[in-house]
Amino acid sequence: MAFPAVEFQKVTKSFGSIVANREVSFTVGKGTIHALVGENGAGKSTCMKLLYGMYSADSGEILVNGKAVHFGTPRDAMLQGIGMVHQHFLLAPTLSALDNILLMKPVSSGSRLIPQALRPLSRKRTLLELQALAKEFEWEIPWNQPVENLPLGIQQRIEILKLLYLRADILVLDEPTAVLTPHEVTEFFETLRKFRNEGKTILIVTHKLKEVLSLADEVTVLRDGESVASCSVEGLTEESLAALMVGRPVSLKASMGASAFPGRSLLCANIVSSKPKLGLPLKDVCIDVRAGEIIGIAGVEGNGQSELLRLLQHPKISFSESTTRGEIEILGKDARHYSVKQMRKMGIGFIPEDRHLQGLLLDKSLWENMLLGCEASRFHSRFGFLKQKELVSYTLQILEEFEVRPLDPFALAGSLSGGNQQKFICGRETAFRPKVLVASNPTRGVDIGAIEFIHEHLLRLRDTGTAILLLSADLDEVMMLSDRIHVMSRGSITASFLRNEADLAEIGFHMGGGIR
Amino acid sequence: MRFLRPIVAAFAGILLGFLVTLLAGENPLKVFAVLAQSAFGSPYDFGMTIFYATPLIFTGLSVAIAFKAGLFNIGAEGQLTMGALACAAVGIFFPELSPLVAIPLGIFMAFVGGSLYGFVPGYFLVKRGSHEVITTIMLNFIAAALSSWVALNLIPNPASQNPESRPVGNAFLLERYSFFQDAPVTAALFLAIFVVGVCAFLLRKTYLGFSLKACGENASASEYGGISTSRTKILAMVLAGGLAGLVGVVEIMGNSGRFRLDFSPGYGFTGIAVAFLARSEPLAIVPAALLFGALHKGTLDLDFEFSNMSRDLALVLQALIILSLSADGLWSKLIKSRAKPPQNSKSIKEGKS
Repeated sequence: MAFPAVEFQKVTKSFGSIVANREVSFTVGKGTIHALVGENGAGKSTCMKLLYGMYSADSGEILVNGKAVHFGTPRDAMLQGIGMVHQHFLLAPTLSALDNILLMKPVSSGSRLIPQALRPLSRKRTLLELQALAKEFEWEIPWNQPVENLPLGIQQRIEILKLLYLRADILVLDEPTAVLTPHEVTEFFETLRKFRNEGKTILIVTHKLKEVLSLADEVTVLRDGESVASCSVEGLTEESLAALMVGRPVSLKASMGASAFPGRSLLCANIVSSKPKLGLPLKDVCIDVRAGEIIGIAGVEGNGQSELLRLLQHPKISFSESTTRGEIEILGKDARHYSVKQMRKMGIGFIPEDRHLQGLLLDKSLWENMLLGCEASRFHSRFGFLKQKELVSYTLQILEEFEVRPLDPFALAGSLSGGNQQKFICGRETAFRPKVLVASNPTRGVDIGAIEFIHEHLLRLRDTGTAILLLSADLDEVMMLSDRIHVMSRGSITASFLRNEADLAEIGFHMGGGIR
Repeated sequence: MRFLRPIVAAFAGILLGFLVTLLAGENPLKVFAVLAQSAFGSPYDFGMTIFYATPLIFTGLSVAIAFKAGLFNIGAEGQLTMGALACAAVGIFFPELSPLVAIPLGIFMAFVGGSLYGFVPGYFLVKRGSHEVITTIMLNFIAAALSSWVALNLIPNPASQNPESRPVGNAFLLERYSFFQDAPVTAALFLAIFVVGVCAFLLRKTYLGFSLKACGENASASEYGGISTSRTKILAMVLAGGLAGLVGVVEIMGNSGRFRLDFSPGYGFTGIAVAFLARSEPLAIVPAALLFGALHKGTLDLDFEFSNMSRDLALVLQALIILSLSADGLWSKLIKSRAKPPQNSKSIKEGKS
């Protein structure tokens, strides 16, 4: 093995009584791409934050380039040549790309008598240097535009250039492909390989096993805070890697056949145009979901999915604006003037895209959260008195059926792990067999076991005749579950595929807006 | 721990307050004795404490209910003014009613007057996005000006030099309990306690209460869950206004029998402190209101007894109690220093799948 660039030796870090990392050990060779994988809550991000000086370890040693280090702040880590790109970029949105990099630049020039904060910035020189750097990768960066106007792919490049400019030679990337189209991912991986060949060390945190296998040289698997394996990726398969992560064999492909017989159309939306006050305008979005089929909407995040979801959830608000033209029919009825409440009364299940923001009351117990479902009216009398006993026992039934842990209707929703929260929401929204289900990223940030469970459940639901609209940023998920696939790009549906004609490359091409 | 904290904070605040009296050169024990004597020393004194506490129960509830729905009602002062005005107006215009009709009608009008005034900021919040803190503060001034114009121009009292309205009909007056001697303690106290019970029930056992709390905790999740947040917010402000308006019952029907300008010594604002100390729990409002009522009554006599003390000590004590309650950093430090391993660590681990 090459000379180790980063080495963890029995690093332990706990928060209160919870041990996030227990004696984690692994070695990242210099000039290699090393992947760190594990389920949510396995301790990946704690590891990264330890390396980056955001936390300090309780015991154990972290070695960088063979020397033990004790970083107090990220600045110390940067001085040692470690750079990190966070999953949510840390760019000041209103500043230009150039200013964002100047922000980070340690000013060395000028007299020591002048405090650092008052020394002049060398904008022009920095810009020239950055342009030269970007040219090496043939990247076009609009340096003087506010970062918030740039696509996420470009923002990511800015983050990476920032690290390179600050002379980082150990790059830590946290879920870097979450915001990229398949085509961009391929390109991005090319760049990373180039970095490696130049001798840089790359540590990549991800949960996409396919990427690990195609990109990384070595992989470390974390499970429940412990490093359970650290080896070369050669000979590993997705299944074996997943089994390492979960600790038991898992089937990654939900066993599915095509939809048996799509019935009549239950959810039909034809949005000619819609310009919401916030967000992307929608144009030419035409969806028709029939009973017993799953329609998948593929697309990079931020291409109008949230806006479409908002429109389906609360048609009344959208259609009260004069800019919205089109039709929505639900169960054969004109739904343009339906409020959320009426949509709920029609028996439409919603799995929202952000379970914390839209799905749960974290400070309330599970049985109270049950009241946010379609069946609220079942659990209070005509005068609004709650039937708490029935509600609690019904909640317990759902928890059992959907394998939510802990099995306690009085547990606070916020105390559950992400996977359990999602299973709870899934149970709440589907246990009553809705006619129509709109599910947005139903498995985001959820562990593999729960993903398996939710996917199988969605398929079972489909087979009993529910019309399901699935919006997901995870292309594999869309491809695996959907009977028909629409691709959404910049607020429009740009292409549609049948299940057996779907081709990853073609879909990826349309996701990127039809630019190769 | 949850219940302990406000109690400890109240004591800590009072203790700190005595430090202040020490700085002012008075004997804290003597000050405390005078305070206690003046607040609880005789049936009359105790009655006055109750008389000051009753409006605080209503305004405390008003702030608490709005707060549960995620709204900050600074407008209880204006709402109680309008409630009192409405209550006085019906008593002045229909003086001949039988008490059986008059008393429920008076209570109803006080509630309606306040709730209409609470509806305004709720409506503007939902329709125009105007922040309720700003609008309720501004509406307080409008209420003060409007009510004095109505009282002095439309229903003035020609027989009095004081800025006040005509007296209401006798049927509207509640009987004072003789036990408290001359203190105006009336059935309004029981109305307050009854309303506390209703609010507690509403919040805990009804879908409406659930909607309020859900809306306060996470509006967009509530929206997804089929709760109309705009309606719930307006409703919360209407309820809050109505509760504050019930102060009118205490003042008009239970005390002066007429609308006096500036009758409220800031009940609406003290109500914020009461709700905060009670952590917006309806049942806890009663002791919190009693504490602040006692402070108000107790400090009234300080002017006579001490050269360096005035009734403003009440405000100082209030402020210190609130400060010690909200000193979050201090609290977490105190708890940490004697932390035991948390009991629920097991359930957290089990919760991970």
